[in-house]
Amino acid sequence: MGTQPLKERILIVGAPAFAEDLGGLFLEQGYPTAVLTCEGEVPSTLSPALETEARSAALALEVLPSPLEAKQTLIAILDQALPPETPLLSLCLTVSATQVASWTRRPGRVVGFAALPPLTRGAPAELAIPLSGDSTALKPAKAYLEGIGLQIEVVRDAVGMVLPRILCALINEAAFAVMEGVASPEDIDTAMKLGTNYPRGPLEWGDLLGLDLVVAVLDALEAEHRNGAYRAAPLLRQMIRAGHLGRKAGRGFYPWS
Amino acid sequence: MERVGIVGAGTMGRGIAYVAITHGAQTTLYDVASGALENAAAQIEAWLHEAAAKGRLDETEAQRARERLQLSTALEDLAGADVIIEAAPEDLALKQEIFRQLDAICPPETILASNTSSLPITALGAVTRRPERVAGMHFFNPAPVMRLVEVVRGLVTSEETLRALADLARRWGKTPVIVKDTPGFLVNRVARPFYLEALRLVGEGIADPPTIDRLVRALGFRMGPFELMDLIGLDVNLAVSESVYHAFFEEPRFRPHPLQRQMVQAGRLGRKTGKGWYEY
Repeated sequence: MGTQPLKERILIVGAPAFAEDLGGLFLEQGYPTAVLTCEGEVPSTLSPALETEARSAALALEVLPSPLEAKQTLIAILDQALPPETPLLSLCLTVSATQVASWTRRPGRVVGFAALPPLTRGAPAELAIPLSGDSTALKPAKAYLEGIGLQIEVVRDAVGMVLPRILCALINEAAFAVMEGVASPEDIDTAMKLGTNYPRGPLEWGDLLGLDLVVAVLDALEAEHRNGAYRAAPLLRQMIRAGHLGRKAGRGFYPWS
Repeated sequence: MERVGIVGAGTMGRGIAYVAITHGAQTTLYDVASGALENAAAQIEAWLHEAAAKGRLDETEAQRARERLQLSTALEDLAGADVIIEAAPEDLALKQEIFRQLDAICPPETILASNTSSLPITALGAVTRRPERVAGMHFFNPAPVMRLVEVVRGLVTSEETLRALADLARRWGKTPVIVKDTPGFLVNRVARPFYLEALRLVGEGIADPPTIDRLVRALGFRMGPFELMDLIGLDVNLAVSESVYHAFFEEPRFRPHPLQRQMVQAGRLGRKTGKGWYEY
C-alpha cells in the first residue's frame, strides 16, 4: 500500500520549558504529537482542547512542575478523558507520584517522571511507580521515553526523586554562600568547576533551571521531610520577589540577554 | 626572585613545593621528620622527571627547578622567606604552635599562609602579632594538577595580603578565588549536598549507588557522588562532613549520614582499601 505505519498519538501538556523539548523529541521520532502549554493557572480555553486530544492519546505526559492546584486540574481532566489503558506520566519535581495517583480514579496507570530542562537526547530522566500503583504502565512509559533518546532510571517514588533533589540542594548551598558573603557568584561557580570538576557552576545552573523552580522543589522537600535540611536560602526568595528568576527573566545571579 | 617556605612535607606540602620550584620560587621545604623530607624529595624528583619526559619542562628548566629546592628540619631556615605556606596535619593546636613559632622567627612583613581545608584562619592569625598578614592559601589535591586556590580572608586579614597571595597563585599558574573565613571555606562547603543528598537517597531506599552515579554522570558530571567518595576516601569525606557540620553548630543541612560512618567502621574506605561503595 505504501503508507507509513501510523505511530501512536502522544499528548503533552504543561510548562513550555518541559513540554516543548519533549514534544520536539517525540516529533523527531515521527509520533503525531499534541503539545498544549500553560504556566501557573490552567486557562479555561485549554480544557476542551485537552479533553479532545486526550480521547485518542496512547501516552499522556503532564509536565507542569507547580502549582499543585493547576497540576491537579490537568490530571483530573486527563484521568477522565484518556482511554483506560493509556499510561499517564506526571512530572514529579514538587510532588510524589503517589500523591498524583491519589488524584485519579486509576492509580495503576500513573507513572512519576523527573527530569530537568533542557530535555535533549541523552538527558537523564527518572521514573517511579506510585505506592498505590502497579508496574503495568511502567514498561510502556519507559519504552516510549527510551525511544526518544532519554536515559531512563527507575527509582522509588519520593518528592524530588534523585537529580532534582541533589541539584536543588547544591544550588541552595551556593545561594547561602552568596547571601553570607563567602564569595561572589562568579567566584563560587569558578571554584566549583575548577575545584571539583562540576560541569557547570551551581548558580549558573540555578539561573538556567529558574530560581522559582529551585525554591518550589526545596519547599516541597522541606514540607515532606520537615528537618530543616531543605530550608531555602532567604536570598533565593528575595530574588524571586524581585523577579530575578534566572535566564528566562533576563536576570538571576547573572545578567542574561 | 620569590622566596617561599613550606611547612610540612606530606602530600600537600610536597605538591605545593613542586608548583613553587617549577614557577621560579626559591623554596625551602621544612618537616620535623627527615624521612618525610626524603620521601618528598623523591616524589618531587619523580614529577620533574615525568614532566621532562613528557616535554612539559625542558631538561634545563627541570634542573633549575631542582636547584631551587632546599630541605630543612630547622624551622629557622624559613626566616628569610617572603611567604610561608603551612601544610601541617589538620590539628588546630599543632598549627597554632607552628604559627606562634613562625611569628617569632620571621620579620614582621612575612606573610604567613595556611593550606588548611577545615580550620579557621582567624584562629591561626590570633596567635601571631600580625593577624592582618595571616591568610588561607588552600590548594586542592593533587596540587600540581588542580588549578583552583582558595585564598581565605580571616576576620582581620588585610587586602594587601590577599592581593599578594592571589598574585602569587596566578604567577604559579593557578586560579585564585578570594573566600571569607567560614566553615569549609567555599568548595568543601558547597560540595556537601552532592555527597549528603546522595547518601540520604540511599538511606531512604530511593535509589542505589550505581543508579545515582549513572544519573549524575548523565547530567554531565565526570563522576557520581559514590565513585567520587571512593576516590577521595570515605574516611576523609566523612571527616570533612563532620567538621563542617560541627563548625556550623549542627546546622541540619550539613548533618552527616550514619550510612557513611558505618562504611568507615567496616573499613570500606574506597579505592585505597580495595572496597568502598564499589569493589576494586
